[in-house]
Amino acid sequence: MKPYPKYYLVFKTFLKNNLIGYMEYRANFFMEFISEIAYVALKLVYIYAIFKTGVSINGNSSAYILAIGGNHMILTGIFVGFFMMNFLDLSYRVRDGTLDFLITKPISLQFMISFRSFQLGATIPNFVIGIAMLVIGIREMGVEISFWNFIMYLLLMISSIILTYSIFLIMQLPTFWIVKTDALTNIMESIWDYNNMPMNIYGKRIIIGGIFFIPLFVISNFPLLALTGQLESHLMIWGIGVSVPFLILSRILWKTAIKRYSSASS
Amino acid sequence: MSFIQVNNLKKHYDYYEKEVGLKSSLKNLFYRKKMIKEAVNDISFTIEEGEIVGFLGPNGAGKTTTLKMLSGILFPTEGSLSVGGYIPWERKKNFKMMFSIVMGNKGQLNWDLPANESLFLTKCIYEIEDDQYNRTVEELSELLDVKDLMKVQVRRLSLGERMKMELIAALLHNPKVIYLDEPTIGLDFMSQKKIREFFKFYNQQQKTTIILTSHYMADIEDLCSRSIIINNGKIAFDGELKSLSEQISTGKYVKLQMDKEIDESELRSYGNVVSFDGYNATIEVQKQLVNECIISILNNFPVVDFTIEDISIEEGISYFYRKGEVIHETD
Repeated sequence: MKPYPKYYLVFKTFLKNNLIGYMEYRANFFMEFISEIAYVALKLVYIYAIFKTGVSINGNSSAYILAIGGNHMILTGIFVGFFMMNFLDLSYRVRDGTLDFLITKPISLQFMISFRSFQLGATIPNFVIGIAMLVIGIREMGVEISFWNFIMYLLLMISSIILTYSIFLIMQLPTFWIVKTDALTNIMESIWDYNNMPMNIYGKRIIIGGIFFIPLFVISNFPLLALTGQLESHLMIWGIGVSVPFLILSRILWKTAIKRYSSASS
Repeated sequence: MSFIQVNNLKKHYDYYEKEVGLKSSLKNLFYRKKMIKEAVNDISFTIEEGEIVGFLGPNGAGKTTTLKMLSGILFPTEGSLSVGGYIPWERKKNFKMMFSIVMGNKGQLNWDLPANESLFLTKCIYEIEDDQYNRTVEELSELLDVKDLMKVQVRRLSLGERMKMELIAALLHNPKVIYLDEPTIGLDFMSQKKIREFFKFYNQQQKTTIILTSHYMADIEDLCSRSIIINNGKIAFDGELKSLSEQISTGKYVKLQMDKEIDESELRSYGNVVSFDGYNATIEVQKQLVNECIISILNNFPVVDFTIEDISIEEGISYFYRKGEVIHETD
């Protein structure tokens, strides 16, 4: 028995190599960090404005809007830092044929594709500011957080991360048929931003679609509702459970798509 | 059963054409005429364990496509193939553990990192024990003369040095079969030679099966006891290079230099005029007629110099590229 499982070691090495690669270009490292802080600050101004004016949107208090903005930012940090670069890379790898080498490696190709690059410069500011906004928002709301609600929040956050991964991977898979997927990437980013507001500001049909068909509202909205004790138990079970079939679906579609790979010219 | 067995392998690709200009691009947005390229068209061969086989052929002949099917990167359209008892496109882990592919024009090392970091990643992926890893890196870096460069960022290395690092990464897990797709492309003469010598030695030591594609004849002549010429997706020749040159060169080249301009038609009676510019001519003459021809030419033309040469293997191969004829070596 080896002390560490292979996938853990490879993941750790990917992470380490990314950090080393990052730090090789010092100027870029600091610039990316600064630009990401500037971007987050802009977002912050917009959410802060809502908070400060005390506006309530569709019955949502400004404190709640701040908290959900914070939760969205935490998940954005994870999404942009861990997945986005890899998903964008997939299309390039299919187009220029550099997927060839990865296919020949004795390790899951989906794993190699999903966790090869990290954008930690983007994760850290989003994460730190997101947590700060979440904590301030919750405090302002004045809700008591029970231990049970906190556990549910964590479980729903894990489910949200799995859902984010599955949905956005599925959206990148058409690259095996149509090669270039820039338009899909834009759609992906727009859809992602839908989540930085409470879901009840949208119409009933959109809410139902966003919970049960393409469960985007489960991401970022559900965890906060659970944390503040506003999520009904059947939706809680749905929120935690729905990520599993989506993960399986992404795996099945991945296997179908990879058979389409036709490499590129030598 | 042979180590590598390929039977009636075919790979067809869909593609479409577009005329020059915006108008045809607009037309193509709504209608594209699907065309099919037969990249590999019904090829069969076997390779024994420990053999070094050269794949030769012009660009687009189907060499790389064949290698990609042999390594499981591509699914074939038709036919069967086994490597060491495995069907490559099933992409089983044990199969992936026993082969390696090196592409001269595509690297797998991370350019932003020193080579030793990428090698460590390879170690983790192939689950190589620490002892074996340290020993192999030490041996290979010594053999390839790159021991002092392991800590240098890959993008700072020369093309030759980078290729050597790629080779180390490809050989770390001690593969049973190696596919080399133009490993010496763009390298200077000395680096090419060094890499050839390395593979010769490596094959002798490890008894590794090697399939090599290259545009450099020296690579093939030096390393491969056997060559397979692929042209238009079909096998045009399978056998020893020497035997190829014997089969195609029933003639010799007579190269002439005149001190006065002559007419090309006057030379045609001696054989096939391969090149002519008024003062210089190369004629392909049948071997048994060479003496007779030379005497006659010297008597009838203002020749100042002449040489008689064998047809080179390169020319023999290009003859096959043009002709597309299929020859299988008879034992």
